[in-house]
This record gives sequence, C-alpha cells and structure tokens, in this order.
Amino acid sequence: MLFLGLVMRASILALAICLAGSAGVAEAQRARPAASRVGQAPTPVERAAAVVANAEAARAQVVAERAQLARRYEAELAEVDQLKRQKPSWRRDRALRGKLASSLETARALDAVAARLKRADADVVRARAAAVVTIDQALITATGPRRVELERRRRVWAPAPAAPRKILIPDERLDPLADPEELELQAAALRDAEAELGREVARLEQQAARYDRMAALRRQHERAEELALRDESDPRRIGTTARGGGNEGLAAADDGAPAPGEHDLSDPGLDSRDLATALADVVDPSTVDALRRAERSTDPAARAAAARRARDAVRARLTTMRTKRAAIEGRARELRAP
Amino acid sequence: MRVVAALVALVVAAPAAAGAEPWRARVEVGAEVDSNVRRIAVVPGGRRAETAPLVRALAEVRRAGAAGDRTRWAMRVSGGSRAVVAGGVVGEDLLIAAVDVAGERAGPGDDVSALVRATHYDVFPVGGEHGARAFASSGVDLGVRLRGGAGRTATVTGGVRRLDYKPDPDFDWTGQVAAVRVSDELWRAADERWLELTAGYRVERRGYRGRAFTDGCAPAEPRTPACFVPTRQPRTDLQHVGAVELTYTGDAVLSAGYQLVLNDSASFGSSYQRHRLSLSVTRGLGARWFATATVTGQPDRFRDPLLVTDDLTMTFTSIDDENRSGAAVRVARTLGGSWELEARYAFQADASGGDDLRYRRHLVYAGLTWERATVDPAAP
Repeated sequence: MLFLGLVMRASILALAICLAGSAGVAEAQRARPAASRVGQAPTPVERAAAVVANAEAARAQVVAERAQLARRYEAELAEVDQLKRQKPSWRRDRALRGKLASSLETARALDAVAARLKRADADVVRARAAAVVTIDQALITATGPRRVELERRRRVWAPAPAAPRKILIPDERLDPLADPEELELQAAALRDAEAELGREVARLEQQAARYDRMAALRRQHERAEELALRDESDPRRIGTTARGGGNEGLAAADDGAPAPGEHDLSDPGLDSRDLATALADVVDPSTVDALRRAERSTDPAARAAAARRARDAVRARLTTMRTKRAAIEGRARELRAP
Repeated sequence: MRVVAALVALVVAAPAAAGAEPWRARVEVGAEVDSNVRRIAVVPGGRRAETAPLVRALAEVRRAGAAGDRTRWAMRVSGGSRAVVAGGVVGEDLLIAAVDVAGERAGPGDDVSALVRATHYDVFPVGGEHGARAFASSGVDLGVRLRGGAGRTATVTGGVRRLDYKPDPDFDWTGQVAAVRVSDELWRAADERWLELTAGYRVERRGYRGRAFTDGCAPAEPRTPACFVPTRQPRTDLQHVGAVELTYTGDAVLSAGYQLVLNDSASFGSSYQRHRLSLSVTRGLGARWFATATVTGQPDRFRDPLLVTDDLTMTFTSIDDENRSGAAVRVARTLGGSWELEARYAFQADASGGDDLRYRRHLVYAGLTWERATVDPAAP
C-alpha cells in the first residue's frame, strides 16, 4: 500500500511536472509569436552578415595561431643558432638535433596553418561575395537610412581589386654551416619560387604573342592609311595662267608634306604596373623602371617588346636560381652521405 | 640628291658610342594602274581622264638613339620615285626625298619632356617639266609633351613652316604654326583590348609670295578669270585644322576619324571648308593574310565660287562645292622573314553627281615590301 502510494504520488508529481512543462512550452509558444512580432526574424542581409562574421572570426583565429607559431619558430631558430656557436660536444649535438627536429615540426605546422589560412581567406571572400549579392537585391527596394546602411556594408564587403603580389625570392646563398635538413628546406622553397617564375615566363610569353598579333594588325592598318595618302586624292585643276584656282596642286603639297604630328620617342613600356611590382625583386632595376613606364604606351609593339624583355630577364633569373638550388641540393647530399 | 645620300650614310653609320638603338630599313616596289592619273574632273565633251601604268619605289631608313639618360633622338630618311612606264602621259614622273629629325628630352619625373623636330620633304619633277605636284616643304617645331597614366598624353608644339611650289612661285608661302594634340586610352578590357581617342587642333598662318585677289565682277555676273583682280596686298591665309579619331585595337583594328579644315584666305577664291570622314577596319584572315577596308567621304565647300578650267575646250566651270568620296580595299600577306606582298584597289568619285563636272578614278596597285629592323621593331 505504501509502495502504491509512493508510486501514485510520483506519478502525480510527474504528471504535474509534465503539465507545467507543457504550459511553459505553450507559454513560450504563445510568447514566441509575440516575440517574432516585436523582434523580427533575421533578414537575408543579416543572415549573410552573420556568415561573413563567422568566416572572419574563423580567419582571425587562424591568423592568431599562425602568429603564435611564427613566434615559436623564430625562438627555435634563435636557439639553434646559439647552439651552433657553442663548442661541439656530445651534449650540444644531442640538444641541436632535438631543436632542429622541433623547428622542423614547427615549420611543417606553419605550412599547414598557411594552407588553412588560405582556405579561411577563400571562405571570407566567398561569404563577402554572397553578402554583396544579397545587399544588391535588397538595394532594389531599400530607401532612406536603410539604403545608406546597406551601401555602407557593401563598400566594406565588396571585393577590393587584387593587389599585385610580389614574387619573393628565397635566400639562394649556400650556408656552409647549414645542416642537411635546412638545406633541403631551402631547396624546397627555391623549387616553389622556380615554379612561380616559370609560370610568369609562360604568362609573359603569351602576353608578348598577343601584343605581337595586335602590333601586326596596327602596322597593316597604318600601312593602308599610308597608301591612301599617296593616292593624292585631291583633284588637279588644269588651269590657264589665271590664278583663280588657288588650290591648284597645293592640296597635294599640304597632304604630301609631313604632318606636324607626333614623333613618338617614348620608351617601350610595360603593360601594367602590377607586373613591375610583381617582378621588382626578380629582375634588374632598369627593366623594372621600363616596366613601370609601360602603362603610358598604347603601342602594342612597345608593350610586346616590354613583355619580351621582362620574360628574358625572368628566364635568366630562373636559370641562375636553378643553378644555385642544384648546388644547395648537392651540398645536402654530400652532408648526408655516410 | 647628294645631300640625301649623305644623310642616309649618316643614319646608317651613326656611331654606336652615341647610344644608338634599333634601326629599321624598308624598301618597297610596286606597279600601279591609274585610270585618272592627272586627277582631273572633266566636263562632257571636254578633256578626258587619262589612264596610265606606273611603277613606284621607295627606300626608307630610320634610326633612334639616346644621348644620356634623359635625351632621345630619332631620324628618318627616305627617297622614292614614281614613273609612268607606258603611254603618252608626261609630267607625272617624279622623285621624292624626305628627312625627319626629332629629339626629346625628359624633364624630372618623366611626366614632361621637351620636343624639337625638323622636317624637309622635296618632290622633284623628272623630265625637265614642272609637274603640278612638284614642291618642297620644310618645317621646324618646338614643343612640350605631357604624360599622364594609362596612355594619356598631350603635346603642344609651335614652329615655322615653308612651302615652295615649283611650278609657280606665287604660291610659295612661309608661316607660323601652332598645334595641340591629345591622346587618351578611353577603355581597356582585361584581355587587353582597348579604345583610344586622339584629338588635335592646328592653326597655320601663311604669308604667300603672290598677291591677293579681289572680286572684280558684279554678284550676278558669271565667273571668269577676269573677275580675279590682283591687289597690291600679299595673300595671307589662316588655316584651322581640327581632327578627332577613335581607334579600337583587339582582334581587329577599327578606326573612325573626322577632320575639319577651314581655310580663311585674304584672297578671293581661296577660302574653303572641308569635312573629311573616314572609317577603316583591319582584320587578320589567317595564314598570315591581312585585309583592310576603308571608306572616305570628303565634301568641300568654297566661300567664293571656284573656277575650274578645261584647257582643251577653253571653258570655265564655276562650282560652290565639291565632293570626293572613295572606298579602298587592301590585302597583304607576310611571306616570312622580312617580305610582304600587298595588293590594293581604290575607287574615288564625285559623290555629288553634279552635271557640270565628273570625277572618277580607279587605282589598282600591287607591290612587294622588304623591311628589316634590329632587335626591336617597335623603335621609331
């Protein structure tokens, strides 16, 4: 009986709790429509803004992680340098091997973080692009302060023009004190740079070929104009000694004489400032200088010449880099040899 | 001619120590048939247009160089000839010689540079006859060029010019000229197609050796040479030339140009207004073939009636306006290396179709060109 009473009291208690919960839920449900009437559901722009904020937060986290790893890597490299300066001993060598292994791990972690940062950057760009599309749709009907706010957000999220990316050349010097692992890392960085320079050579080659085609078209166009001038199409007046036909023959003189127009002495130019920025550390200063003046030229032949000049300079740099990398790799193999 | 030969030698042998850069040489020869070699407008029953076969030849050498970091120079010397090879047409054979020297010195920052230029163009008649096209023209100009970004330039020049009209010294003139020219890249696509605008204005004041004429006839009188009464004053002309051209460069080159010439003369019968509109397109046809098609319209309007005489019938025709329109097609094929073959057909006509005068002309030309440049064919 006692047990049955306990069960019944428990059941009643459970029932009461359930009923209270339902009432709470009903209350909440009744309240939610009221809340949705007072605080509106997120708009498409707000949802897009939330996605952008999440992507940016994730990116900021990766950036912080990279900065931390970079500090650690710098500290480890400093410790390695310090150990190398010490007098060789078994203890020093063991410590050095440990530190090198640790720094290698950190370098690999940095590479992984760099890849994650690249993906995070891409996520931010995608989120922003989607947000801009959403804003553009909202702007169709937006007015007043709402429009001002949307336009402000759009300016913040609209993708900026791609900044010219400088091609950085890794250190090519062969450090006689370097270990095989360091040399191999250095060689790997040089191989990456060579690949980038190789792509640049191919791009410049394509650019030069395109400008050459355009230059050929322009030459043909100008040649047709030159032949038309030789037609001397102004008619001849067969006149008597009367001087009435004042234009007799003189139109030909006017047309045949060299026109006081431009005599273009402008330097061959580069086609974009971006190229000069990208190659600033790759080619010699005079080539960079010519490249920077290039955007002033609308002559495709001049631009083709500049592209070929830049291509030859990059190709020469690439050859030099390959030679030095081969020397570094050779030294690494030599150190590893038993 | 000895002077021309000396200049050619100078261009070719310019010392490398002066910082000479690429040079370019070109030689061309061609044959042409001209259905109106004297380019006359004819009246019914009067003088007829003459057809003649001709040969043309031209040689040109260009050289450019630098003197120091900021100074560049360029020189061009050319010589040519045109001769009728059959038929009874005389007075159309001529030799041409031209020299063009220019220098440019860049100011600080390379945005401003000073210009200097001297030109001489000479046409010599052959056969002891002063052909109507024989003249010599010379000029010296100083100027300034301003450069902005993205292909934007402005050039302002001023100078003096002289023209000697060999058949009749009364048409010799000397004068001052000022010109301004602006070019800008209006648009550029990511795949490197672009649209350029070039606009220019030139004004020339010409003082002639001959005297100005005044109208000695009453307004209702028919125009004859007797109406042109010489005065004591020398003839002076003020000529204004304005031009604008749009050029698109991409997989084809298209250009549209308009030029307005206003010649305001103190001499009766010498003032005129000319409009010239031209449209041209050049396209590659594959297999190293290129084609260019051009259409031109040129109406002239004369402030005073223009007298056109026919010395065969000794009649005079007075016209207030004139029209020269035409179309031309040129095809060319590069033959590999430095050679190029070209052919051209042009048709010109008086599109107004007036009854008094008729102008028709057909030109058929075929030629071969050899061109060689060192290092960089883009050198001026």
